[in-house]
Amino acid sequence: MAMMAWLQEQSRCYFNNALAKRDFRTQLRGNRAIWLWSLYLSLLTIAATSSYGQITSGYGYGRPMEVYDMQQALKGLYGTMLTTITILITLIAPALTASAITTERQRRSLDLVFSAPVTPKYLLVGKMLGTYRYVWMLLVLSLPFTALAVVLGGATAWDVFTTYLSLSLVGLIYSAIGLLISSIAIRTGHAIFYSYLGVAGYLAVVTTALSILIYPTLHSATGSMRNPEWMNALLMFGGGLPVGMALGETPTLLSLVIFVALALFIVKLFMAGAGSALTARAGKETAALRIQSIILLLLTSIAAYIGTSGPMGLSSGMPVKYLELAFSILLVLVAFLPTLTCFGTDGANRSRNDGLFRVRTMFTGTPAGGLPFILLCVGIMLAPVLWIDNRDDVALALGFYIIGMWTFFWGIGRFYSGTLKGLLAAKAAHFVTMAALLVLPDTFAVISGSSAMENAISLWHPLFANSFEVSLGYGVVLALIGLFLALVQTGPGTSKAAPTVLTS
Amino acid sequence: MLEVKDLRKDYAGFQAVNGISFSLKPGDILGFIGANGAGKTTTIRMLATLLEPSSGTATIDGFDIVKHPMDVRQRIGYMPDFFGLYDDVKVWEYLDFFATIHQIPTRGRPAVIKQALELTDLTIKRDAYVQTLSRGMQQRLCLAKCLVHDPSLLLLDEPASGLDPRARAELKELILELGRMGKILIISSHILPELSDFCNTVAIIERGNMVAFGPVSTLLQQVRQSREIRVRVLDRVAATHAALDGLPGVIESTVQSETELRISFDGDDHAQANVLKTLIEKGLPVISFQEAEADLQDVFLQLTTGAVN
Repeated sequence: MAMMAWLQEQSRCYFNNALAKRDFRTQLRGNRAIWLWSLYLSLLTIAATSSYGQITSGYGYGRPMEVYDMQQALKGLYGTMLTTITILITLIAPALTASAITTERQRRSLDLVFSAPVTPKYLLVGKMLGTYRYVWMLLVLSLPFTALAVVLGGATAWDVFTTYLSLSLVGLIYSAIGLLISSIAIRTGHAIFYSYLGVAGYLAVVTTALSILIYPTLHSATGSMRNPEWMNALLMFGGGLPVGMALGETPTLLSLVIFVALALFIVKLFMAGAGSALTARAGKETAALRIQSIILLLLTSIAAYIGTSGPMGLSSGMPVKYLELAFSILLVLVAFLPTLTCFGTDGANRSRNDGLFRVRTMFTGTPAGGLPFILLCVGIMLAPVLWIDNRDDVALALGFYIIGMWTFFWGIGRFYSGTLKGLLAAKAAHFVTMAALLVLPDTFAVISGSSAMENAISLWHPLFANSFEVSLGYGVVLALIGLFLALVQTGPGTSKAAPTVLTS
Repeated sequence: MLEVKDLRKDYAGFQAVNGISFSLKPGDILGFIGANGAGKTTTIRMLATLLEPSSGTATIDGFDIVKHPMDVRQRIGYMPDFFGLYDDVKVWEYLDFFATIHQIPTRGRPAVIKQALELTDLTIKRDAYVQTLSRGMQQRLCLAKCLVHDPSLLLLDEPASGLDPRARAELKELILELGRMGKILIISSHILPELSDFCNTVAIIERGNMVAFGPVSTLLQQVRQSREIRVRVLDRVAATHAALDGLPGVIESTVQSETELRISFDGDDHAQANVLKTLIEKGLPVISFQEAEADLQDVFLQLTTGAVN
């Protein structure tokens, strides 16, 4: 019975979604869609003709083109077309979804929708379907150009299939980023701007992570592949081009399956974030977001462990390489820590101080669950060195140091929440303080002419202290300062009532 | 059935709604009156499950607005004080959209849309784009979308604002018809004389506090401890003034002009008839003898201080 109800709900959400139907109707109404598609096809035509002309002009030098030259030219054409489509999808997909929720908000129709039995998930899925269908139309429209390369021998049908699968999923991720930003932003213009920033940030993080994880061990000394095959699937996240483009070989079915699963998981994570931003109270949307974040962190920690366990990593005796990577990945928390930690009131946005530390509320989005959740995130990233490789005292001490550092940062947020009036002010002050604390020591080191990395000058660098006692000492001191800051202004929290987090 | 118990909403530094309680039964049409910022919209938005109450609760047909918001949403129709319309769709598409999100089966939707259009007199505009409708029609369309799922409670926030007299008259008829259909209506409005035309219950709210609640007639009686009678005469206003002195029920009479007096009166209908009879018997040239009716505006002005949050 419950299964049937669940299936009906999914069917309603994914196949009979009123918002998707409404958006689809309006998207295809009038001449706007025709003009946009014409423009899109014109750009592709220009790219194809100019690329083909340039490529073919480079061959031959007066002699007739060989078959090999022609094949290379066609491969070049195929690559150019893919690059053009990738750029266009990167530009179009986030912009389409970035306006999805803000337009509703500006039109003030969100209230009408949410006064009906509509969940945030239903709304977001509807908006995603409406806009993602448009992205797919753009991909389908580009098929004749890439099919040309197949017919002429520049690519195989499998290449085209994997490319379009890859592009469609990357387009889905970009759309999800746009939707997340749209759920938070007030105005459409801001949402589009921040969505592009979000996509740029996503690409920067992914590219950095890939360069750390995969490329150093891409080839062994003999030139053969060293990465597990599934890890190559991650390369597809680096901008939408399939493994074949990056490595010069066709992706296997296994790497495709892994890529699809991971991409869908990332999309789900962004959608959960958007749902949490839209929801009226701390609840299952926030819990879903946090649980999915933990799963992603767990996967990241495993990938990082495998990626750093090669010749340059853990096998050298001390898991410093992994710790450095874990430390860098955890820095992403800086962006989310104010939301996890701060409380206060701004208009209808309210987050009550429901206590200092409550494991029970770790996933529900209340301030008391902030520190347990932060420690869980840190713990997951440190687990490989604390548990799997727990044979090195220095690694253990560094782990405590990192825990102390994040407790300290958490304490700053609690301090501002108790000191400043307003949730937004506390969040802003918390973020700025953390950013300044992280950046300033290295900045001073650069100004003073010394290298922070070499001399371990930065307080926040895990190699600042290189002995067990010093690391442990700093960790404990930082944690104590954090706890003091948390207690001095806000106390342990007195609200016995069910805490509430509201977002407009 | 709607039951509101000690509903409260706190914002930073002030209480928007301060523990209001009331209950309404099917067919009740509640006029929700208050100055700007008094807490009307906040209350309505809490009942519409768009805002979570700080404390207290409300149940609609037994479903709690906090614990069972989805069940509540199936039973309410919310019309905000702004249109919030999708103007790039046709009228029937707009209603089809809301019928779909209210989970009305596909086969039943055409009939439901037809009924809603007939009730709001928009059948002729079925295929028109929303953006081409007049303001009054858009308001009626907004009301029609509230009706597609046959809710038991309608929350109408300033439904008559910006409407011309004809559109207001049509809206009034529509609201009365909905009341006759057994729906509970909560209508917030600033246009007090019109509210008294179709509301059978009134709630007055000031600074988040409910200062009065009850049937319109009861409130009027409570406010008017004494009745006011206006008397117009052809002439001899001084003689009329003198004749009124000492008559049973007459508290005092004041001369308004050379042909008009006002009597402050606390007697019953018999005593009132006796006053008129006395004036006629004394040969005074009475043109009209009329009780001045108190209206909601008098009630509102008397019970509120004008303070706002």
